[in-house]
Amino acid sequence: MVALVLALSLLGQAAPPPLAVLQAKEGTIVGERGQPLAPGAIISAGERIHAGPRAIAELAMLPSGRVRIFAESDLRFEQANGLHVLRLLSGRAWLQLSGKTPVAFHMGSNRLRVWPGSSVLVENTLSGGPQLSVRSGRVWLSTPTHADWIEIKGGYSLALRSGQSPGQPQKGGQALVALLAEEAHDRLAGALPLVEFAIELSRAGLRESPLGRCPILARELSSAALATQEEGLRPPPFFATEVPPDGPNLAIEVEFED
Amino acid sequence: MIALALLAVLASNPAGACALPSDAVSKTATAPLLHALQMAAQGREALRQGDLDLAKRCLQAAHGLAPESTLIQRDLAVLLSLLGDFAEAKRLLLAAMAGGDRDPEVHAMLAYVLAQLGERRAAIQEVEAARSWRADLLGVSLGDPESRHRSRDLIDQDAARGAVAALVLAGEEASRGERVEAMNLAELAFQLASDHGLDPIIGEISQLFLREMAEKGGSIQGSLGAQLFTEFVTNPGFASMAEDSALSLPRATLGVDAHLKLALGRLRLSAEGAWMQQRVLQDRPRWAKVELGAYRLGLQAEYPLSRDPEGLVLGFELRFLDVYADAYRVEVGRLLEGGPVLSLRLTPRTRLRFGLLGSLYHQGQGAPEDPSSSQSRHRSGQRAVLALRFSKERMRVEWVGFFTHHDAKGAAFDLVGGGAGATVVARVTPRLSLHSGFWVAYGNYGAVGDTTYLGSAARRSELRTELVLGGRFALAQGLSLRLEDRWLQTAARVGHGYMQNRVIGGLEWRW
Repeated sequence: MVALVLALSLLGQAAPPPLAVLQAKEGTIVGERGQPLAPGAIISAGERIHAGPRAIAELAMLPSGRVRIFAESDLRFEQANGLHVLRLLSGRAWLQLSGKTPVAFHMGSNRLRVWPGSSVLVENTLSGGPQLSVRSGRVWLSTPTHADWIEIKGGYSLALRSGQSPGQPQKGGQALVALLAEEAHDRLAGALPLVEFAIELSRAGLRESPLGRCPILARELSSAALATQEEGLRPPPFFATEVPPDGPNLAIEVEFED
Repeated sequence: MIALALLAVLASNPAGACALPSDAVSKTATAPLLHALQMAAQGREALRQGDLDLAKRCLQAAHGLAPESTLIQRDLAVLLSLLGDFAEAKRLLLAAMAGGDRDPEVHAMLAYVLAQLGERRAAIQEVEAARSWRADLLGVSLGDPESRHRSRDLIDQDAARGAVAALVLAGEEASRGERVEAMNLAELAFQLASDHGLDPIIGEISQLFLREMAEKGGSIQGSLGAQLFTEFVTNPGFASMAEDSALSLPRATLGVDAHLKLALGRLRLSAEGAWMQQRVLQDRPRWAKVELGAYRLGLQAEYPLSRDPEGLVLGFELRFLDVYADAYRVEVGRLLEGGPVLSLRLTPRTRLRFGLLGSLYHQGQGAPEDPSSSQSRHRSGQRAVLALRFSKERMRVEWVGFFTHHDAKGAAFDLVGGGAGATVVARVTPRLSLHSGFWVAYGNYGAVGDTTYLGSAARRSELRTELVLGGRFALAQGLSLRLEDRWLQTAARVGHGYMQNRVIGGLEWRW
């Protein structure tokens, strides 16, 4: 009887829920037990993934989100209080969250709440410490020294120092995100040939261009042409095409004719 | 049960080769989404390996299983774009954005798709939201001035991006008729590609571009312009000359100008010529002295010191101006002015120019014939000018400050002065632009006469204030209507201060 109860309880014990699926990768990505992960691999609650040197990976987060993890990074997927939790142990991770459910993003003892529609890069390195850059949307931050939630909007970033108050989010700080976006663009499949198309359009523009026509047409707003009649009374305009010739001058000889 | 439903879906979808992993069948509520994401992963992998057909089958099957997944919507949109189905890609990207996928990279993708569909204006809006250098280059090729401003910075940042940016900017400059600039940029792209061993395709396209430019006439560009204005002037002369204080007269002006510009490698040369003639339309004999005729010749050489042809530019300018009055019976004066000019792009939208010009002035009217006379007003001097310009797509603001110093040949009429001003030009619609500006200038002349006897009266100062308000309306290509009001007040010693208001209307034609 006891054995039956034990067997039933074991059967009833739910397996950890799946939280993410590896979508694309380059380099070595390993799972909780050090096993290599291939695209399609399921990451369940409590599992950790590690990106090796020069590796990059993109994961689909359930129910709706995209997570990128970069070289020498460790990210654990957890679930707590009904919320999905991403815990960045080291390195860099980038979450683009859609859908309707917020996600918690922890780095050390700092806690982030990411709202759907937001895109945030979180970094936790030995040299730089924890920091985050919000690309779009908004996130809320709570730290051990500042229990109240601080709102950080798209286009702002914040660096955290251990034991110090987090301070005010700073506008900018998007260079790292841009750099990592480049890496994702170059190394993960699924990029569109924007530059190639720009070159193609640009050459088409050349073929249809009004070459041989007046360049001044393009400078329609140039004020050089606004007044010709005054030039007779003035020294020549200093910048023929940039500074209005209508400006002041001291060539007033006509007026001083006494 | 869920597994059975899943198998039924799989059986009905076209993803035959898109198999699920053996451990995939699960009984959880999230199973369909989980399996859809696994299929999407297979699709991404197939895309990476270049098997677009398999990628399409997998991603379409994944989309069928989880149509609400923004991740799958985006990935399928990318694949369909690569396959040329831009309409469906647009629908999917908009659905992904509506579902909360709002990272700037989605905007870049949508910009690309919209540009492919020919929806230029909408594409440019997405370029703005994308905030990436790739999207900006696409914006440049779509003719977006803001993208052009931002992309100029790329030229100096990195060789590979610099080469590509120079190439795209060259095409955009060419499309606006700026041949010299286009040639400079295309040559820069070729140079960067060669020097840094970049993708040979960039170098080849640059060469092709240069050949196409050469076939279309090379790097010479020119222009012609003509203007015909009438104006109504109140108080056109001095109060001392006037028999009453409320003088007014109508005056017509005809002007013609021509510009020529060419590139010799990175060196840019330009020449200009201009002529104008005024005609007083009322009581002409009385006002013949303010009926002016003039011509101007100018030469300019520019050499970019930075990689970007518009980054840091050293130039030399030389101009000659000859002014007459009363139908060329009286020479008002001749001026030869020239010197170095340094131009620097501070930010993508801000440019600073500094010039130090020397000048020789020969006064005709009112100057003694004997140049050694103490009253001689022939003179030589210097002018330093600093100008700062800020440009946006629909607006341009310009601040100018200058300092002038002239030594008269005679003992009198030395001049020290300076001034500042600003102009704003706003393009309200593609056809209509409005402009406004103010100028304040101060000059101090003298000593005029013997200071022993005249004291401070031997020096004459003048403060000149000018306000301008006007607009231009494009009637047809190259033809525009101009309306303007100019108010000028000069505060000087008794008999020499005056106020003038001019209402100007006329046509300008450019080719």
